[in-house]
Amino acid sequence: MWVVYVVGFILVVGAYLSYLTVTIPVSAGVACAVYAVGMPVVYVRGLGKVLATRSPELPEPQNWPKPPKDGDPAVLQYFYGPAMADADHAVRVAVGNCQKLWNSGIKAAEESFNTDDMTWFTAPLGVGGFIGGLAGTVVGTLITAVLAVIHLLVVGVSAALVRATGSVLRAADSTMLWVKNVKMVCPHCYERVPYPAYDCPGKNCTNRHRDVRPGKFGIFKRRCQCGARMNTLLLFGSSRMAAFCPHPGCKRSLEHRPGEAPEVVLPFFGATGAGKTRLLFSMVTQLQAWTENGQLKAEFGDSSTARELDIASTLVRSGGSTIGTSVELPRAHIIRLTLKKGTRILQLFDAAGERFYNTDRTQELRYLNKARTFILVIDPLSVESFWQQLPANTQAELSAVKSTAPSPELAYQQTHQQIEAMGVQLKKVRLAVVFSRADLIGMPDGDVVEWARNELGLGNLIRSTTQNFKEAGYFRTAAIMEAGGRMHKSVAELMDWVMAREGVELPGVTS
Amino acid sequence: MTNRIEENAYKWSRRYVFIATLVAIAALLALPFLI
Repeated sequence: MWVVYVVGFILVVGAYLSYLTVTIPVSAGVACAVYAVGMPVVYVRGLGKVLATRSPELPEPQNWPKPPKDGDPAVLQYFYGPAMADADHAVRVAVGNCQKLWNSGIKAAEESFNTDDMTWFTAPLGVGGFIGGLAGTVVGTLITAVLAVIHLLVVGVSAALVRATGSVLRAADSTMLWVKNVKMVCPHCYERVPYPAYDCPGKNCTNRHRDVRPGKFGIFKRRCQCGARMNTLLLFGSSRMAAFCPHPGCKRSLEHRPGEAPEVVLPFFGATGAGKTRLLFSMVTQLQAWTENGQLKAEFGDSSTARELDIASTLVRSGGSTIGTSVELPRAHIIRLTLKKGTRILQLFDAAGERFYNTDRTQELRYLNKARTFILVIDPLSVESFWQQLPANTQAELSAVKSTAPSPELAYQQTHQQIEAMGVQLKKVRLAVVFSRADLIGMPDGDVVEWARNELGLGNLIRSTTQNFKEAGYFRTAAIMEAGGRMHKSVAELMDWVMAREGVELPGVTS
Repeated sequence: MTNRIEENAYKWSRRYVFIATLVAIAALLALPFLI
């Protein structure tokens, strides 16, 4: 009988060993496969949740990049920080899910030893599952790491491409400005404007963006913190937004849409009462006449210019006197000039004559080193020797309009020295010397230079202007309307000379 | 969670990164069959 028991026992043990031989490797294999495949699947699902579905149960992202201090009030471009934070977030989500997967495996293995009567049956499954789970975790971790590396590579390559695109676009924009010879100057603080600051175009948003160019806040567009989208480049039409001077001490409005066209800075200088403002008014009137004839289009570049120069043609037409210019620092009068061959933005600076008598006041006119052409206005009546030559009745007639300011040479010397002190090479800039009031003293035939030398006794000034500047032009102007409502031709002649040197072809005196 | 404006701003960039990663993974899996 005992033989039967022994044989039975051997058969049972053999059967159980056979069961173990099959069960443990199979359960280990299954567990290994589950973990080796499950972990990458869990990672990809986590990636999907973080990047695509954005399910609400996602945990808070760690290491979310903070916008730079003192930076613009804009949302960071995705590849300038948030993409890496998302990669980190996806790994954390995947680790959490893998932990759950691993815990469920451990729990199943533990339960396989606690099944009362069936422990002999389930325990091998648990043992195999545990061993397989360990091996699967190693394999799964390796595969998941490869997937994470692929994700990081995608982020890295995309970030590199995005940044390279940003640099190329910035360079293209700068090149375009350089080719078009666009150098922006603030009409208020006279500083060069490398790029205007812009107000957010969003409704009820007062955020101002100091540098909208492609970079960490966006390549083609940027998004303000209020959610509104903004163009990043003049190339893409950023000039349509409200522009401001980016310099911290200024920040004033640049209504004239800077960056769209080359700017021409034209400073008027000369003694008090020399006729600078009147000349400016007559130039504006001439531009308006050309506009009315359809030969070009001249429009005021901003509301301030419109307010101050709207009366120009009325005043010139009426022959009335201009009001003395305030000694405050001047703000440029801006005129947008649209011609067949392009657009120009004229910045006309008309400072009070008092500013040209002493160094401190002239020094403040920092726009002087932004100009390539200057206009020196001289009232011939203010030259004492010339005044003395006039007949007594003419003197009596003109004494009311005669400038009582010091000699025109003083304003010239002062300004000329200051321009040089500002680092301007005079041999690279031009000067128009304008003798005003030709309508009052007549326009004798002959060379203006000879007349100025012989009649006005301004030989030294003429010599200095001729020698020091790249080119000097001499004009006698009459800032009056002729019969028929046309500006005196001398104004158009002067403007032709000034603007031709700035690459602008004006209609000329025939109009 | 990031704010609503950031969520909107990053929506398409995130989708792009996800799809590009899946494509890269698929390409890697297909590599042995292509060689």
